[in-house]
Amino acid sequence: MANNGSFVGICVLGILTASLVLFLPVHGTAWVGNDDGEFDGGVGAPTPSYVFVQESFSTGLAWSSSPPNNLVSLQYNPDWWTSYSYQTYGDWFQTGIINYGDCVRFTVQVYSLYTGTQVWANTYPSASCLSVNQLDEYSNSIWYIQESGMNSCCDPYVKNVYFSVMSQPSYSRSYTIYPPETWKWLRSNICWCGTDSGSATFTTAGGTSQMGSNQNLYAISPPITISTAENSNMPYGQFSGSGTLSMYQSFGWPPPPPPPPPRCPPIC
Amino acid sequence: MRTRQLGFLAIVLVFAIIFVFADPSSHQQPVRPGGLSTHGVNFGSGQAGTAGSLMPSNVVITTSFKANQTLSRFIVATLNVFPYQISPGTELHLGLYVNGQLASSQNYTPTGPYRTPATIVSRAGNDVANFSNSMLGFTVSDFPIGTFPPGTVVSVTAWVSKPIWVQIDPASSIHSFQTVGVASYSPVARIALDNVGTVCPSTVSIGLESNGE
Repeated sequence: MANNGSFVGICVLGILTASLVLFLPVHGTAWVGNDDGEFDGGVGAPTPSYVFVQESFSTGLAWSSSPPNNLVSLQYNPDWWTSYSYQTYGDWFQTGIINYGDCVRFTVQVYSLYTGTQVWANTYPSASCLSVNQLDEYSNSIWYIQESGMNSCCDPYVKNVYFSVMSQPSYSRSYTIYPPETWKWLRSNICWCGTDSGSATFTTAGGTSQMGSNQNLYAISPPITISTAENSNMPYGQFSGSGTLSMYQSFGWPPPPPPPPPRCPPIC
Repeated sequence: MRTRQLGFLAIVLVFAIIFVFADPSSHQQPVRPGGLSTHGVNFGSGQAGTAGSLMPSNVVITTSFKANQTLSRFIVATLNVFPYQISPGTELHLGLYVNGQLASSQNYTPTGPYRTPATIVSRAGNDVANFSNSMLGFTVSDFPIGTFPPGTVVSVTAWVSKPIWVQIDPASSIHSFQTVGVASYSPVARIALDNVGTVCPSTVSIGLESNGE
């Protein structure tokens, strides 16, 4: 009987020790900068044909600093460990919109997770940037990136990436990059960040992030290992709509309250 | 009994070890990527304009640029097409040449519908127009590559089975050259580094990018 007790104790201790190794801690409160949580298709579900992120502003975008070049970006990043384990050549397939201040460039950049070096990139336009009137100041601007062309049956590779920015309806830019059919769509997150390994300090921004697909998307815990080299102070809310075709999440800060009405003179 | 217990414990430990080594996070630590870079090596056309020209079918158009910086890791060339009246079944063939030698080729069959079709804003003749701000960037790439010094000539060939509107670079000092009457296209192994055919009325806009780290 005593032997049985010690055996059970050894097993419990063994399981506890193994669980410390196998089940890494999950943090769910610090959703800031490059850590907004992630979205993925269901376990065993077919590969989605497309997955988009749409950032709909309700408060204009402004930042006080973003070294080294004072540029900010919207990044659509795949999970680091998933890329390392399952992406072609262990690559990391990143898409993004670079904001020069009411002027943008659209880009796809691929890095090797073995060496950290860039292995493929395509940026439009190749020189200068595309002016979009009041993109940052306008409170209802929309930023959009969609990775498409995957085939649910047997072809998980991204065939094209559609980018769009719009301030007022008459001020919009859109572009589609057709990369080599080499890289798969994998679980991803978004990042309102700096560029060139820098960290942006946003002063105002706010709105709703939407992640949509033809397959149900699920919120998963923020990654233990952050993928991108950039960061920021942008806060993100919890996801809603997990397990449906559209997930939502807030970003930024609520707009400041309107000033109080002027005090009424006593005569009225 | 004790032997069976020890045996069971050994099995549990073996499975635990297998799990630890099967867990991706226990592998060698991958390297952090370099981040969203704004320092690519860009040469070729500027690409920011909205002028387009109707590229005829069965014509090979060749446009060449000389790199002013070292090229390494990859070369990506982009031909921009306006999503405007693209006939179903249109084939687009692109070839990428480095110093006249075929490096890569890529074929596309553009299929709509397009999320943001382009519209003609103004015309400047039958086959030249200004479009709204929407384009499709078809790429042809060579990667991984070694290192090519400044002065390397990169050429891009394009051929379509049905006419499509492609972006042009009206301000370019470079010319595109055309070879007409090519009913079916397959890339040749080598092309001449100077004039390839006759000068096109408009220079086709070609974006070129290489590693800038």
